[in-house]
Amino acid sequence: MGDEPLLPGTLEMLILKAVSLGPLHGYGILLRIEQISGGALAIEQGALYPALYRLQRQRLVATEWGTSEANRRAKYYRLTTAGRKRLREETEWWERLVAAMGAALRATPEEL
Amino acid sequence: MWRPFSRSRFERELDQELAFHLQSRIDDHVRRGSTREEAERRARLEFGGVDKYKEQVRDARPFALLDDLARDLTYAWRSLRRTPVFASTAILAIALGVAVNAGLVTLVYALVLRPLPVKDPETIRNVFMSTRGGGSRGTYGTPYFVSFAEFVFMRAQSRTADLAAVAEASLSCSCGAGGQLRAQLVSDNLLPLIGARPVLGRFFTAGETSRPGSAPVLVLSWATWQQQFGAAPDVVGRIVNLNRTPFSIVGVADAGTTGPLITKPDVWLPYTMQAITRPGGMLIDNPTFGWIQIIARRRPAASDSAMRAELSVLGQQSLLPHNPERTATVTVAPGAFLNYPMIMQNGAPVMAIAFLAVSLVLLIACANVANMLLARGLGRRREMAIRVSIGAGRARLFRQFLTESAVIGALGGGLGLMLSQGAARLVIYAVPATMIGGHQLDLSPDWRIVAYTVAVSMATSLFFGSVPALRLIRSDLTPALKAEHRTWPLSGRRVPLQSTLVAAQTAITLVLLVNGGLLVRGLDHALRMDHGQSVRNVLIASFNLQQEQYSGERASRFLTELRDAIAQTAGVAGATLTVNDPFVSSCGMRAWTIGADGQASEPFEIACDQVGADFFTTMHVTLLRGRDFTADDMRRAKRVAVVDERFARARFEDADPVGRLVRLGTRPEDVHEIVGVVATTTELAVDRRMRPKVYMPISGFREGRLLIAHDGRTEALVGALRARVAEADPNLMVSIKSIEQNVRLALAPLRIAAAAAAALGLIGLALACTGLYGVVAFTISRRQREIGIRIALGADRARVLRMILGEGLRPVAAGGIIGLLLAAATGQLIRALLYGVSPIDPITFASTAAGLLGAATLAAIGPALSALRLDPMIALRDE
Repeated sequence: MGDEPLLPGTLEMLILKAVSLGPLHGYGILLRIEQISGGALAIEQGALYPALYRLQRQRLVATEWGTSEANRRAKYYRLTTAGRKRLREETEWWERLVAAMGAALRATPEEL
Repeated sequence: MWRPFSRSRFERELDQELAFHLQSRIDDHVRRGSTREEAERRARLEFGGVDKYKEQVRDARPFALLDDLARDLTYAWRSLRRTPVFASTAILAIALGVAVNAGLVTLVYALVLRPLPVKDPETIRNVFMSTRGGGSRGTYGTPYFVSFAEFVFMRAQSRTADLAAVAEASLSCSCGAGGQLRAQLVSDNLLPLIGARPVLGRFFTAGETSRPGSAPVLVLSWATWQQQFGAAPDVVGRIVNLNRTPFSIVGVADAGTTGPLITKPDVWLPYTMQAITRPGGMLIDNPTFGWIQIIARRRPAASDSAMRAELSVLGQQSLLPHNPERTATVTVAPGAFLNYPMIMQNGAPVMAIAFLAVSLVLLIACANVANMLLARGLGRRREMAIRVSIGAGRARLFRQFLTESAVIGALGGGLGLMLSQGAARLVIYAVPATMIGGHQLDLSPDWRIVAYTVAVSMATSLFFGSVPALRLIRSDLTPALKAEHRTWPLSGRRVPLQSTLVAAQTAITLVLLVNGGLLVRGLDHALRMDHGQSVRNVLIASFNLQQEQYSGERASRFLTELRDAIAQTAGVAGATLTVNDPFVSSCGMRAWTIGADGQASEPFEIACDQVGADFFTTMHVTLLRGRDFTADDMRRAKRVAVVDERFARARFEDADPVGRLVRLGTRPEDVHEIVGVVATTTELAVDRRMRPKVYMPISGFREGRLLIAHDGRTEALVGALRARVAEADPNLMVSIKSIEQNVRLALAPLRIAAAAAAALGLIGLALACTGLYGVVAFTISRRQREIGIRIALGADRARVLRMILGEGLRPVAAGGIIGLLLAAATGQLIRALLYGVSPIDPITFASTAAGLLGAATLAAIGPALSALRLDPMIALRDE
């Protein structure tokens, strides 16, 4: 497992981040992503679910059925150890990329 | 309906999860002040296509592949059941294609590959030794047999394997009905080596098989004990007469022991008793005469290569005392019935041709089913378009198609495996009993045959499934969704793939039919051609003189007196003696001509025969020069010879051969004077060779047989013959057959080949016609509107019919031309079986092509006529 790379900025990375703060159901993940990314998702909400199932297949998230705030049966996702490790790696990689890109973009003619 | 275990739960949970999402969103919108309707509308809009995402989730879930497979299988099964005519036609087509293929493989496997029916067959090896070089050497049976002296030496020296000896003989017996027994002459270790156990008594001891002629003992097979001796518990110790020699029964083998050879024996004898099967001990005492087949059990520590290395050396050493000028070649092969190097070599081209033929039938079946799938797929493009639009990937659709093909392939393959059993048995049934009587060929499928059939049917279904699937999936599906009528162009062209497939089927069918037709013509010609000798109204009488221990002199006296008496019988046109069974057995040897200077020529191969007086007049062989043999030649054993015209032409060209000398053998006294030239006679055996022929006065009287030319009324003749023989020696058995039987026997392989080729051709024709029918019917169904309009506008129905037929038959004509060209090439492969009929025989080619065109027209005319009968208004409204 873990052979499918998560490119930075993809939906999967946002999902991992969302559930890293505690177990959430699908709709909760959507709200959390909207909240942490400071705006609405640019994609259709349904696209969340294929992504969730891909993460589940890679054992990066685990699921269990529970009861929601509105007292409805809901499926909850939580981060697995592998998921936490993957999130850390992806975050580091993303930060390195951002730093490198930032440095590259800030470069002035004198430095070359 | 079969469903995978977790699927319904998975779907239920997915539905719940998505419903929860939508409901929560609706609640949020309501909470923020939307109306219920507005909230639901917005939630659905924000979510996107539920079905599309469900499909994507299904693809993403764990075990998606397995689950899809199960779903595809269910789907395929359901859609096949919805169209039973298509399904059964496709399955039957594949079954026929697989059946002929697996049938051939079953036969070949049973003959040359299947492990022997013995205990632990995996360490049993056939050891074959052939020799080349100078000195004299003879073999009885195959050229791979060894002499007694050679076997004893190799067995004693080998450290890699235990060697056992086996040879076959037919014996007369004082027991049971018919009085004839099949015997296997064996070394003491053969029966234990193949895992036999005595159920009564014992097997042979080493002492009983060490000295020639010392131990007249025998072991009964279980079947003989049951049938001939009523399973008597006290059978051990009884005495029976074999070939007039008393033998005592020492044991009975268990029921599972049927020997290591293709024919089951009735009894086993020590091989040291060989002399009684051919009096005079001519085989066992002759170290240069091979008659023993070696069956070996490889020892645990040894490998095949070690065995081959050791036995090559031992084989060579075994020749040193008596055949020092010859080189031995030893082959070690896995134990099987007929895997002699010669059979494997000579049989390979025959097998290749047969395999080509059955593969062609399979190919026709493939093309046929591919065409049906394509037509069906075209009709299902709307369904496919819908599935793609709701998110099914094209890869999924492709897999779906292949699954359906695999289901057809699996069902067709299973049915084909069953049919192949019948096909293989049918072929064996067609082989004359004199060729393989009492055989123990095992034609039942073992895991190798099953694995082969599964592989063939799966490879086949991949082929016939993927061609139309790729074609359909690559094409643009959008028009299918928009269009309301049922006709869409496929890649802009008008279904050329379908026409190509029809043309291919036609071409292949024609190749099969033409070759089948050529073989039938060849058979017919072989029966009608001028053979240079009588092929009817001749009786052949043979006697068991050897089994009755006749000396050569006694046999000579008996046969000569019998011939003289029969020649005087009413209705007999002539009687003579011969050694060869006409058309069935032949004799070959090397000969030298002696020049005027007394110098011998280079040796050359000849066919030979030993004949009595009046042979040429009795058999209607024309005497061209010189004279026939006389009774005086026989009586005084004169060294004279009669040669055929081919011999005369080849050796003397236009000079007169009469008076010239020919040497037949290595000794000086083998020089014969040519006294006559006769017309060349034909040979009919499929593996015949055109060799010059030399006739000699008969000397091997113990192998002699009587030939009687008669006027067609045989009853009195047979009665008189039997009475004469009984009078001379009541113990002697006479078997009488007609020369027509021999001709049939000699032509049996050709008859089988012709029947098989014709059957394959007809199967191909049936498949191709079904395919054509389907394509024409399908084309018409798509063009019904056009046809309806034409007829409504007053077009001549006959012209419309011609148009439909013309279009349907165009690929048939194209395929036919290609087929004729291919058939002209493949005809060369079977030239030896045609007996002088040209491989591009115009009659065969023309009649086959016409027949195929006729059948194709019949196949196309049905749907065409039904289209014309249809009320144009219905066709138009149908859109």
